[in-house]
Amino acid sequence: MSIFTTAPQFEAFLVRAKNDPALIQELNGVPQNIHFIPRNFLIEEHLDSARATTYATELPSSGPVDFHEWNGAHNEYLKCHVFLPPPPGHNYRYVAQNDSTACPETFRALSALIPFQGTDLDAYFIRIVPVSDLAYLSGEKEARIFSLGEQVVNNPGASSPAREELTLILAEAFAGPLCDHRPVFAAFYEDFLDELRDPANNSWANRLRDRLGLYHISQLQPGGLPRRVFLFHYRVRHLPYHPADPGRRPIAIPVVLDHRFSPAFCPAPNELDRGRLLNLKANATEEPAREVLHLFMPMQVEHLFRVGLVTTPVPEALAEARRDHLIWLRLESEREDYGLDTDDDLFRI
Amino acid sequence: MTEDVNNIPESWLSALDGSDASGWLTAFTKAPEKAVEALLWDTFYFGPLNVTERGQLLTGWLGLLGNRDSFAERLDAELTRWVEKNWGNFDRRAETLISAWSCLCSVVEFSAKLYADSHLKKCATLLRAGFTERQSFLGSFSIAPAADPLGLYLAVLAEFQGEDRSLAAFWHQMCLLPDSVPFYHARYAMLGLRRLKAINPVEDGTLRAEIVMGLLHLARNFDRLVRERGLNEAIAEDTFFRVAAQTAAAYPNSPLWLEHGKAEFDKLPDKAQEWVSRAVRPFKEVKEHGERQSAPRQQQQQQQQSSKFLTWNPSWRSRREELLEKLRRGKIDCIPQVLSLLDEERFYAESISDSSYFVRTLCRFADKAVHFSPKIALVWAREARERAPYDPFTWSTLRTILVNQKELDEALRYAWVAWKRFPQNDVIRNDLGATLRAALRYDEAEAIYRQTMEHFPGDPVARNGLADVLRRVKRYDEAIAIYRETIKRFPDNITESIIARNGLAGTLRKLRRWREAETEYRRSIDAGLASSKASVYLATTFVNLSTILLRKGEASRAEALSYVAKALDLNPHHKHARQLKQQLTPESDVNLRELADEWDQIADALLEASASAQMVEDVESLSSQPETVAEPQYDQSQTPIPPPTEEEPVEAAPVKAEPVEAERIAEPLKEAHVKTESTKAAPFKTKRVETAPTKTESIAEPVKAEQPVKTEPGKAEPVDTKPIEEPIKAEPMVAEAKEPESRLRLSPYDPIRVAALVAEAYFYRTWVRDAEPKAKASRRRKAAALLATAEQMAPQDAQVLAEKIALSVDEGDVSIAYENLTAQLRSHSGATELLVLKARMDRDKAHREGRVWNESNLGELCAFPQRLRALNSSLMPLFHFQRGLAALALLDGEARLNAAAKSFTRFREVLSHRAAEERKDRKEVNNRAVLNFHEWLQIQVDNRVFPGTIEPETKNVHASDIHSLEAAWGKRPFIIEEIENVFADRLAFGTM
Repeated sequence: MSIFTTAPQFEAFLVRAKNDPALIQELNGVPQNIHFIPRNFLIEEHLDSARATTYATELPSSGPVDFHEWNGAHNEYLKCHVFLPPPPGHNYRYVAQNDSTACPETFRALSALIPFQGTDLDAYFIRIVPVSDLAYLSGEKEARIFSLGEQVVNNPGASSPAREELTLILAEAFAGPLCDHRPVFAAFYEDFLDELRDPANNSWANRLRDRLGLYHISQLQPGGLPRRVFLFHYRVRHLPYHPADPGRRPIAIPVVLDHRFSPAFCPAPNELDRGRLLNLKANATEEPAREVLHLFMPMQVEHLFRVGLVTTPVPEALAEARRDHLIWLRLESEREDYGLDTDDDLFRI
Repeated sequence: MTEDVNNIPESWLSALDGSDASGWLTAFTKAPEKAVEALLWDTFYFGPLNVTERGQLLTGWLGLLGNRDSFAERLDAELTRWVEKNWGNFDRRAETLISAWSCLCSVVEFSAKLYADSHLKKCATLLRAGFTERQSFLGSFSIAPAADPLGLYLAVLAEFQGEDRSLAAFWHQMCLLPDSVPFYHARYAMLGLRRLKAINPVEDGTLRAEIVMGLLHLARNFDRLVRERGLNEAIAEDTFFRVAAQTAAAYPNSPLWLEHGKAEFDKLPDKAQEWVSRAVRPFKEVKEHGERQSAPRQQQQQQQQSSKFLTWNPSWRSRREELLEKLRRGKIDCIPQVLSLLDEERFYAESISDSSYFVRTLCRFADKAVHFSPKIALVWAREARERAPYDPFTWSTLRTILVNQKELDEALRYAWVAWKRFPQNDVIRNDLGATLRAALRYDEAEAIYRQTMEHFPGDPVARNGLADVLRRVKRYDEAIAIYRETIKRFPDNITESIIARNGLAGTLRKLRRWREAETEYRRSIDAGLASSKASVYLATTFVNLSTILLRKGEASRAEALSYVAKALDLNPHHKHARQLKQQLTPESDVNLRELADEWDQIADALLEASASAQMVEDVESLSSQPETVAEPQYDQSQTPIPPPTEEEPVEAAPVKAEPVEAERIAEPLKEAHVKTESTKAAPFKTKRVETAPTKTESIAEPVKAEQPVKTEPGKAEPVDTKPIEEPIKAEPMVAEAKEPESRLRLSPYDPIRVAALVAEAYFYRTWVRDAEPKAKASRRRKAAALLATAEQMAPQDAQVLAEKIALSVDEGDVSIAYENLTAQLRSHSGATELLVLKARMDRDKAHREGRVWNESNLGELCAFPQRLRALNSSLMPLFHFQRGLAALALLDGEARLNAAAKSFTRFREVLSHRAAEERKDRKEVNNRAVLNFHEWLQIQVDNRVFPGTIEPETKNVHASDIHSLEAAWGKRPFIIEEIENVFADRLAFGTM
């Protein structure tokens, strides 16, 4: 039984789709992994019932005919309720919880929020951003941005033309016309201390890409590898908050309705109070890193921590990585049946 | 083209590094139309790349593939097809429309950064064809900086201007940030200016004056938005800084910053100066150093920094006056000099990004030219309005000239739209009355004049207009009463008193009350002789007096002749004076009584002439927008040039040139204009030098696709282009997907025509207040018919929809109208007219349902007012007003009254603040009498919405006042609607 029992047609569609051969087959030699998406919807446990209802109203009443129709409806839901464009003159630092024009549905249900209080406000989050994303948002050249990032990281703290220029580019990227205020995925810095301990070790970008489950920062992108990335890190206290609750930061556990369809996502069971990132590297020994969502915040030069290159490919088929991830989730949540109804086939490989 | 098993050309795969993981290119190859549809409507699943934005993927492919195996060309064709199919369609919800059109425009804009053969030129051309519809279509769902397909559309137009400068005036206007331009469109205004081809070819690739001035205008107007519109200062500064810093980065440390802009920079308010200094280093340096310099040193430096490009000519003013005088006297051989002056001023206006002075010149020449060549006058008047649509003077001039040409339908169109667009302007309102009168639509003219009198109790022109209408419909007693009251109430307004007296005399004459008529003519002459300005009417008054004297028989002939002589002294060409003189010569044996009867008929025509002279004078006196003169850059040491005045005397009966001669002159003039329109201001006969290839080719004039785009080497100033990082070798284009040029057409309608129909329908709908049931039904039918015509032209236009729904409500179809409105708002999420209507209908619904007061219900009723406030900061006062009304729509309790009183007080405070700022600006600039919008609205609100009970100074509204206010509004609900509508109209009609 899923969270979508109130939309039985849709639930029936999910059940059909989770093993639909058409969603498993390869396209242009690349496994599509699409069947993991309906599976995620079926095992989602952190979704607020009000959100599930909103979502169901965006779907055809008789349920989606096929995956493509569902994909369209899902994207429409995101545009209307999650990927919100801020109103003119909006100050990103304060977002009223009841303001449906500026506050994504992600942060509107109280049950979705994780309270960060006391010392938690001093915790650091990290976030990897492909430089190509910044180039798209700012209209600047990717190589130029990367070069500026290198100069800034190599000469931190000092005022320099590179710093000024990068400040302007980031401002343009995050305040420009192509940047909505969708929820931001972030991970805990302390979960990656090993990878980030040695600044001279250039492998951090590959390792973080894998552990953060950033499937799209890979050889699959047009142009292939390497991919330039920036790593930002920032304190929880700097995040935006609801004006009525300045002592806390609205932080949510990612659910299936917070992003475009991604087979590299896997929802966490109810027992866990943070999301868990699917490690793209199979047979990894590290436990999955934690992930959360926070309100949109523009990344600034001050937040730039590392610049690097992702040079290694990702596995195209995600079945193995997902199986390992489910094992970790079952262990951590002490729920041996988690994902049993949906992903049992992975354990029979 | 070699294709692999999935039909993808090998060249694409090799550029992509092996595969199409997303599957979209495969789909595009197989079924391009379907693939583009799926991409833009965001239904395509991009496989492992699905979390990447589709616009980013598409620009990435375009950047990598370019036109390999015709990728760019095929994409261009498919995007063009999609635009053709979807432009003007609102059949999806706003969020989807925003996303699709933003994606499309961002991709087309991006293509301009690539090699020429990758430009999505055909699509850009088609988008340009929809320019006049941009606001009614894209504007209806552009709601925020990151939900702004209209802005991205403007970016496309900016990037693809090429050689075409026809949007120059448009970008210049945007830099003034009028209320109809969102502040976050500043970036597109600057992009538009930066991508314009230089007027003077030697300036191509350099920092041009229009860019510098555009940026400084933006700074000044952001400062104004902070002061007058309550735009958050930090937001204003951030927004301006990003635009300014990007512009500065394109021309780092150029000396031309100061050369072009130092004088204007010095005149900026302190805050604006700080913003500019922060972003543009040369201004920062001059600000820091300047503060330590003595005044004479500064002056000397300014002179040294005079621009070699800006050539303000101090003789322009005197030449203009001289030429106007020549035209007034009918000396049309000065036309070549007029053309030359206009070219010089046009060039200067475009150079400095400020058309206000030039537009005045155009209007004044048009006003004179209308008497000998209406066609030329029309060309100039149209250019003036296109360059400065925010200036009511240009609308009024154009309307006057159209009336003069008997183009009454078109004149009425402009009059209706201007009436809605400039509610604060009594001249514009009287223009509409006069045009309706000229069209013999006396009932409507009467209603308009009466409305004007209600809104402008101190305006004698409307009274005279009304009396004139009443006289024409033979309601003589009413006409006489109004004339007499006007004479009594406005003794100091000599001109209007004289007009009233002449009208009164003419009316008395109709009633055969000759003696009283004679007395009024004599008083009129006495008053006219005492005022040089009013003497324009004297010649005709003398003629009228002399003809009335004829009734006294032979004894009066000598006296009558003496007055005719005086008339001819004043105007030797006065046709009627000359005719009368001939008839009264001593040797003539004419029967004076018969002659007097004959002249009674002519007297009406003379009154007409007097009225048209008044219309011209109204136009001349109209100037809610101050005529500012961009200061000469090189001539700071000279005495500052005062703003031009509009005190030129108006000739009642101008001399007409021979038609043949006028036509002879008209032809070359027309040619000259056409030339100017196509190249937009290239007045100097400078030999065109070879310049660097343009960054993009013009969407009007394509250039060869093989031409690579590069920064020109060896230029003194950096070219404002972004060099291609990893150049892609352009390959020959394959014309496989070529579309015939004739297909590149949208089906644009004339927004002025539609807006005029809506304005007229609004007039008929609201003109039922005190009417009999039969008249009510008839007027609503008329409104419905007008809207049906508008709907045929623009079925989804928000103005049409809003007015149609409002009419349905008035006719009692409330629930259907409400449903319809709710449905329309799903796609027209940024349409002010619909949002205002929704807020009103929500209140009415809550009231009907008897909902009680509580915060939650109030919050619900304020949802749409809040959306309006977020949409445009100019609507802040409206928000407070609507919030107060929302509180009143709910039932019971002191809290309701307190909430309403608090909101109304805030409404009046905000309005008062804005009015004070406008008053200050007006007085600083020219101290003209015509009020600005908020100044006028404040008076309306004080006098009509909150009359009597309210403290005028503090603007406080007390809870104890609310009951009496509610009672008053219950009797006159239309006042509330009017106030809400003027806010919406300013934005909706402000884009015409």
